[in-house]
Amino acid sequence: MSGRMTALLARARLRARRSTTESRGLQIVLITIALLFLAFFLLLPLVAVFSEALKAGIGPFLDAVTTDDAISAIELTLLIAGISVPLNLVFGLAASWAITKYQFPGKSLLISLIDLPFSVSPVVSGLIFVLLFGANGVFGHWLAEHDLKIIFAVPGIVLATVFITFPFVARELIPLMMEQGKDEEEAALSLGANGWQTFWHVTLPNIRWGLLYGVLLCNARAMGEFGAVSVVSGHIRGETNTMPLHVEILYNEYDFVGAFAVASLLACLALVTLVAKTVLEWRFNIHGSGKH
Amino acid sequence: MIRVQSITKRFGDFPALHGIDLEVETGEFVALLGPSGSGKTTLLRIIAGLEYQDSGEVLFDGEDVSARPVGERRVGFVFQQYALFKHMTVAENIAFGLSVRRKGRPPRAEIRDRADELLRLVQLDGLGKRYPGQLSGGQRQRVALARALAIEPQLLLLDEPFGALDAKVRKDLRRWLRELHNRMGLTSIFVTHDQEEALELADRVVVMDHGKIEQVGTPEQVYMNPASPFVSHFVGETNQLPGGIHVRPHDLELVESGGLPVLVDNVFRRAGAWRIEGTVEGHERVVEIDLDASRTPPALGDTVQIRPLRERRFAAEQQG
Repeated sequence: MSGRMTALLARARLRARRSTTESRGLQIVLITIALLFLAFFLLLPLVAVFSEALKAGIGPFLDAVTTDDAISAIELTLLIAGISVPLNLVFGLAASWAITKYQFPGKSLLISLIDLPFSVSPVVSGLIFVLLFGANGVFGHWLAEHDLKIIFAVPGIVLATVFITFPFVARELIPLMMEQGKDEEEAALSLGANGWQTFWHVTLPNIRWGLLYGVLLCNARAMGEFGAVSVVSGHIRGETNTMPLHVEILYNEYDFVGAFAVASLLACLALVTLVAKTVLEWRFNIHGSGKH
Repeated sequence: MIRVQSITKRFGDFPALHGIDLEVETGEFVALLGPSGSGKTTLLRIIAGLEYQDSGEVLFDGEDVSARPVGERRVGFVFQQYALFKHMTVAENIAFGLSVRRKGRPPRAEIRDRADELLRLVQLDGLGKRYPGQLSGGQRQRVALARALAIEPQLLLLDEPFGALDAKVRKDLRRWLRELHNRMGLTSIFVTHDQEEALELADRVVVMDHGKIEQVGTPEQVYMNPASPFVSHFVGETNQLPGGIHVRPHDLELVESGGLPVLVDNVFRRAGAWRIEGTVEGHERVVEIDLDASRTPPALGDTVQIRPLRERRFAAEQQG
């Protein structure tokens, strides 16, 4: 009996392999291509960044990341991320909620608009704000009269960063919330919970991992954005220079150790993001399937 | 007493309900029966306050609750897919309604006792610490019920309560729900597309089609005296014979002569009877006949003569 069972299983396994799996040789070729590609385009540059940064030893590295300009760039980058990430967290939540829980005219337009920053070149995104708030821009005259500076100042960098990073949270949440539907929210309401309690006790726990994931990606981009920020910042050292801009300036001045030292900090951020993302995905899958 | 008065509802261009009037007595167990798209779930959700009607009123004990949101109507709603809170334990799910209460929230210990009590009631003692993902379909269904009952609703509403369960579990749960309804003195309305379920469980059946009520009556009335061809076909099986005659398979007898000739296409055993399928000569229509199991059934290809024992005609179809 059990012998027959084993034979049956073996045959089933064979059939499964035939229909869904490539030959062993092809598998090896495909895996090799993927690994080589990864090594060449991702691993090698990463190694290069760190080895260039530490070429002259740890002393020059530390010097390079602790100059006044470098510290000011790091502070500014943290400030920009600290403002734009929470803003996009709120915006992303609100947009996903509106899109997935309500029917309203212009809904599909809103969905397309959320993706706009992904499809527009970052330089163009930056230029939009220059055209709006620059000295010759639409609001330029009014801003000058009231002595408000947006372009070539922190508010402009925040605006550009918020614009560039706003799809991340919403794009993570919309498919998730669509899949979950609104049954649980309705159940909570029928049990007497108010809107806030429903959001806090039911909606948020259901989307927390996806939300964190979106925030993480949003943060990585907010700290790393170059193009749009470059257009609006004006590159004023110690004032409107973010880390990516600072890297460029150092590089253009042939200060390679300095440039790579600051760049390695950004690379570290990328690595941390990657690890956090992996951990989140792992948790996400466990909780997403409803098993504990 | 629950009263629904001339309720209408449209979803965009689609008229979901037009002019629904219905009364449900306290303590009654009522089934809303109909095919998909008949408006039965929409009506249930309007009574609950999960959906709002375009016009008409919903009255609970004579009081118009039309403007009240679901949370203020004291209704227990059991969702088709249960809608349990995945990240909460079974006990937390059941306690939810009490723990979010803003006015007169019972102390923690009391909430816990109440949840335990409800767990016992739905025969899930000891499973309070599990998560919904670790329960079977039937157990989840009972958790959903316990959660709805925790707020001591004046009305229990169930949307396709047995839809997602397999046949055996469904049968057990049905009987158990009926008992629970009686024991707790609940007023309940449930939605189903399964006529057998409606006939077995409900005190009264509301048959709906295309956003209208076709008939309201006891299972006996709906089955024996269908008010329209639709009800006759939807509740139980019905043959439509030439001349606008509607007759149930078990209301047909075989006669030696003088009946309607039917060519036998198929004969098989069905529970306590033979089921004969045949076609009336000169018609495409299939006729189903139940024949007592103790009799010898006709063979395939035979022509038998049938005569209705009890038949119905409907006024709207007289000309046909």
